[in-house]
Amino acid sequence: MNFYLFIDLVVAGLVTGGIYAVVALGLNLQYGLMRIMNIAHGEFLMLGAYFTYALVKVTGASPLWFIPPMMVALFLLGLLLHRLIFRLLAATSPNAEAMEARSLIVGFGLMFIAQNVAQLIWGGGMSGQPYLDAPVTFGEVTVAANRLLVLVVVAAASLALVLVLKKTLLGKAVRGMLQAPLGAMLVGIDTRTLHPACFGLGLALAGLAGGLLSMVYELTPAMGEPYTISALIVITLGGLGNIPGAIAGAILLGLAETFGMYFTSPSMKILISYGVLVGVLLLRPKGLFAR
Amino acid sequence: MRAAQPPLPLPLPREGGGEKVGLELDVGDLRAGYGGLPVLHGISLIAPAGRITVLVGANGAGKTTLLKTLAGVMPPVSGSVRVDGEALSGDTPADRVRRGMALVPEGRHLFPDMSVRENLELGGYLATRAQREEMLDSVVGIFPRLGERLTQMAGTMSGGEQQMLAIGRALMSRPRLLLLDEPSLGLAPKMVDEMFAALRRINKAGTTLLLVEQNVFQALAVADFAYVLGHGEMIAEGAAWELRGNALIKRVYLGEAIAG
Repeated sequence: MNFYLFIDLVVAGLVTGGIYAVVALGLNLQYGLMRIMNIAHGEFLMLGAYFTYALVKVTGASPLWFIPPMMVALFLLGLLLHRLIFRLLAATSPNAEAMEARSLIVGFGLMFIAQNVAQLIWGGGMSGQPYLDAPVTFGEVTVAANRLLVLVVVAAASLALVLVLKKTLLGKAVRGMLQAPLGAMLVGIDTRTLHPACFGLGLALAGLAGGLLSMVYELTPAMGEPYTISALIVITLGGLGNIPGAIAGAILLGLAETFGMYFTSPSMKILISYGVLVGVLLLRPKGLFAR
Repeated sequence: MRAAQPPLPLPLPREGGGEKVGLELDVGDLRAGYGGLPVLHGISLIAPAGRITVLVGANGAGKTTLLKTLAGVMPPVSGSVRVDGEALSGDTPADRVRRGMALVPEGRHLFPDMSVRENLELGGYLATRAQREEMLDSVVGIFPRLGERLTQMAGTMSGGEQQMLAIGRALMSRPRLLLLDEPSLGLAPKMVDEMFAALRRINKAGTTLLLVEQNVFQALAVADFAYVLGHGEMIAEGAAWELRGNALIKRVYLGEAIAG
């Protein structure tokens, strides 16, 4: 393999991995904190992508203008969904297992609703509006500008989230809720406000990934599903509630998929993802970074 | 701003006179349970301000349920809880922490993948940054061992050190009433002595303690008042020195030893 092809594949793998990281971070918080097995997580990515695409189509402006308000809208949608559905589920579920099972079923319902609403509005076919797809050249290496932009934004978003969780009192409170829910309650951390906020943050992050993808790929109403699967694999790789672990797992999965598909065929993608999952679980059953 | 605050229970020491720091806890006919299954059948007790009150009783008598209900972790079915004569307003654990109550729970429930310092910081979650820093110094003063290990992950410490951290974390909210659920459970004898000595110091600074203990004789030795809880009901109460020789206490304690 020549060097430039190698660099090409690494960039592609990092872009995919970065998107996985952003999607998985939100799902990790939702599942880790609230046992919400949000199988509709990828649908919020899809909604974010269509929302951005639709506004670009109408206004002709850069998609970057629309990503922040779209994230705010999804955050608010998350607060609403938590208030209407998941708060009730949490209050009526006798234990964590029941919460997982019930939220899974609710998630399937949300998935069908979201996909069909998108199909109703934008049609079932592919739509897309590539942005900044001109190549950028570094010496002999050529990369599409939009991919580079995606990479920079997801890296910045992941880093920002890690820093907030690591350094701020609010972030420590979120980690505290992940590690010892009763301990967190007893020091006065208010789960009634932080749980909905973290749920909404998850949707906003999925939307960010969707908005970025809308600059690079074609959109379909079912585009979110594979990202939910990838996010679940990433969480398993990195360890539940382990944010840096999820980021490392996402990059590993992105690179493995990209290289694997290049040397085999794009139809092998799912097989490769599950191969990575099974391989890691065989060698490190508690995830890559379990102590 | 500082003047409007209730007097600091710490920094230590604060022996003899001064302002009243500890809250008086008055529980009246409290009933509570899990999902319709009653555990407490009307408990009444008073933990006088600035004193150590110990609550003993067999496993399953409802001691942990009582403390969890007081801390706002589970809702009571009926009954009253008053601090300094005032009914508690608000029902969340955060409301109780703001009122000056803190619980050191059974099993500690520390944040295992966070450092000692981070655990302590979160203990002062509702305090201001300045208060947190001040309290951190006080807590390290009481438990110097924590000061030596501020960067160690809580989950990697010994049981005794974790218990010190659990107490330290609760102190970070500047509680005027500290509830402790079996703090000596599973500790080496030397650690138990150290912990009781620390509790005595915390109390000397004015904080009211309500202590649930299996370690009956050591608990009675530090306590001022004692209650014996049977199955969801109070079966004896009195001054700790009186109950130390009490046949009932001996029977409950021996029963416990045989059952355990």
